[in-house]
Amino acid sequence: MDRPSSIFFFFLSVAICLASLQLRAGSFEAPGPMVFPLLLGLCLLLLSIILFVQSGPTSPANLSEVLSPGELVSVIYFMGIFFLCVFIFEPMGFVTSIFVLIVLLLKVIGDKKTVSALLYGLTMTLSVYLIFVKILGVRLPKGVLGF
Amino acid sequence: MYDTILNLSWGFSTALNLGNLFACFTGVLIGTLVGVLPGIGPLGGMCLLLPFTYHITPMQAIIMMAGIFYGTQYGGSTTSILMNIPGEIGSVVTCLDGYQMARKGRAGAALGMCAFGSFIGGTASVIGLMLIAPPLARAALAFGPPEYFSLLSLGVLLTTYLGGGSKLKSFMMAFLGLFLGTVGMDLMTGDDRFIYGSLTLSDGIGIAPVAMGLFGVAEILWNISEIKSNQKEKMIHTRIKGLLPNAHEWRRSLKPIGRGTVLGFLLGILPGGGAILSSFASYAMEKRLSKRPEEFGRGAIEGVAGPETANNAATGGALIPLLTLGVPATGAMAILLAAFLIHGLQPGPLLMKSDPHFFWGIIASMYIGNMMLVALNLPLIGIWVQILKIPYAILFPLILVFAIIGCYSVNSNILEVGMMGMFGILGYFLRKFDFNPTPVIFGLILSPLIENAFRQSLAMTEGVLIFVKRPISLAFLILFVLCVTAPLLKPSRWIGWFKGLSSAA
Repeated sequence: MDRPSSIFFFFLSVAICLASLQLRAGSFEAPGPMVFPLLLGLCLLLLSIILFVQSGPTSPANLSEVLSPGELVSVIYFMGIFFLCVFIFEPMGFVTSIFVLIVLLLKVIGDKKTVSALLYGLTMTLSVYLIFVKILGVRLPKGVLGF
Repeated sequence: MYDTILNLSWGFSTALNLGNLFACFTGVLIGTLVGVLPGIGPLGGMCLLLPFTYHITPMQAIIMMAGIFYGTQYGGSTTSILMNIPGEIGSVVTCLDGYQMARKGRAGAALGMCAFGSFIGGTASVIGLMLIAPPLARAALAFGPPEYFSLLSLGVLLTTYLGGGSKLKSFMMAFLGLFLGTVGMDLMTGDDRFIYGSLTLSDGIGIAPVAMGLFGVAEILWNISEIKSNQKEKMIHTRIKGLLPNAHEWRRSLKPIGRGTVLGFLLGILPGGGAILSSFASYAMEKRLSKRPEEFGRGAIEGVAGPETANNAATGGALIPLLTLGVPATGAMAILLAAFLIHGLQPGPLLMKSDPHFFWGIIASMYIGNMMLVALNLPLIGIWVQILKIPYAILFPLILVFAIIGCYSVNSNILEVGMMGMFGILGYFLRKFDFNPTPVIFGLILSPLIENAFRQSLAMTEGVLIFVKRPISLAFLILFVLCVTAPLLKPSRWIGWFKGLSSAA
C-alpha cells in the first residue's frame, strides 16, 4: 500500500526542489535561502524512491480497503462543514458560525433529529461563548449578531 | 549553600504572601485548564491571559504567568490519555502509550503516574534551577552553531525511533516537517520562500495550525470514519479503576522518571528545546533502553512516565536562559519576558543582584505551585474523565470548536484555521497510509534552528570540517553515528550473522 504514497511524495519532493531552485543559492561561505530546502527536497526525493522500490504494486481493491467510499463521504461532509464555518466565521461572527457548525455536525455525523440538534447546538454555543468570550476574554469576531 | 538556603527562605517569605499565593493558585489552575483543553497550549493560554497581568503587581504577574506555563504541562497529559488528542504540544508523545493504557482500562494509573511524574520532574527541576542555573547557563552559552546543528540533527534522528512502524516513513515525515519550517521569510537574508504572495505564510507556518490539524482534526476525522463504517467496537470504553498505579507499574516507572527528570531539565535549557524536545527524547530513550520495546505504542507505562516527567522537568530548565541571561528559550518564555517588560523589569544577570527577592520569590512560588498542582490534579482528574462519557457525536464538534478558537486566538487569522483544516486532511491520509505524523511537528519546530545553525556554521569559513573540529559538536555527531549503528552493534545480530556465514560455508 506504499506505492501511492511514494508517488505522492516523489512529486511533492520534485516540486520542492523546483521551487527551491527559484531561490538565491548564495556561496559556500554564505549559503543562500535555496540550500536548505533544496537539500531537504533531495533527501525526500531519495526516500520516496526507496519507498517506491521497496513497496509492491497496489491494486484498486487494495486501495478501497484502506479508503472505503463510505469513509471518504464522511470525511468530505465533515470537512465541508468545517470549511463552511471557516468561510462564514468573520463575516457572520463567531456565535453564528459555531452554531451552524455544531448543528450541521450533529445532524450529519451524530444523526440527531433537527429539534434535538438545534437544542444541543444552542446550549453548546452559549456555553462556549460564556467560557471563552465572557470569562476568558478571548477576542472573537462579533459578526451580524453584534456579540 | 548557606546563601542559597538563606535566599530561598527569603523567597518563601515573599511567595507565601496572600496575594502571591492566590496568583500562584490562579496560575496553576488556569494552566491546568489550558493544558486540558485541546487547541490551547501554554503559548496561546499565556497570550490570552497576558492582558490580565496589567492589573496586578509585577511579582503576582510573573508568578501567575509562570504558574500557567508549568501548570499546562500537568493538564496537557489528561486529554492525551483520555482522548488521544494532545492538550498541549509537550504531551503529543503521551498519546502514544497513555491512550493505549486508557483503552486497556488503565487510564487511572496513567493519569496518576502523569501527576506524580510531573510533580517529581517539576520539583526536581526547580531544585536544579536554583542550584545549578549559572554554570548550566554558561555551558549552554558555549554552544555555537556547529554544536547546535549536531545536537539538533541528533534530535531529528531520535524522532525516527518514535514511530512504531517504518523508520523510512518516519524519516520522510521529519523531512516534510523540516521543509514546512522553511516556509516564510528567511531570517538571514530577508528573502521570502514559498509564500506566493500570502501574508499569512510570510511569518511561516505556525505550529498551532499544524499540530492541531495533524493531531486534533485528523483524530476526529479518523474516528468519524470509524463510526460511519459501523466499527463502534473500536471506540474506547474506559473505566477509571483508580488513580494510584500499582506496585508493578511503579517499579517500571521509577527509572524512566529519574532519567526523564535529568534529560528534561537539561534539554529544557536549550533554546527551542523545552517540553516537546524533552518529551520526545525521553520517549525515544525509554524505548531504546526498555527490555520490552515492543510494548511501546501499545500501552507501556514507561512511555507515559518518562515523557511526562521530562516535559515538566523542562519547565525549570526553560526558565534558566530567561532568568539568568534574559533570553527566552521558547515562545512561552517570550510571553513571560513580555510580562516582565510590561512591569518595567529586565530579567537577566542583573536580576539576582538588583531584585534578589524577585528571583527567589519566583523560585519559591514554583515549589509551592508544584505542590498545589499535585494536590489539585488528582482530585480534579475525575472531572476530566467525565469528558469521555460524553457521546462522540457531541464531543467531536466541541473539540473542533475548541481547536478553532485556540487556532484563531493566536493571531486572529481565519486563514490559519483553514490551514489547520488542510493539515487535518493531510494527517488523516497520512494515518490511513501508515505514516506517523509526529516527526512532522518535530521537524517544523527544529527547522529554523537547524537551518540557521547549519548556515552560520558554514559561514565560519572552516567548511564542513567545523562540525568535527569542535569537541562538543563531535561528541553529538558520535552519538548520532552510534544511534544509527547501534542496531548493527547488537551482539545477537553479529552472532546471527556469523552463524549465517558458517552455515553458508
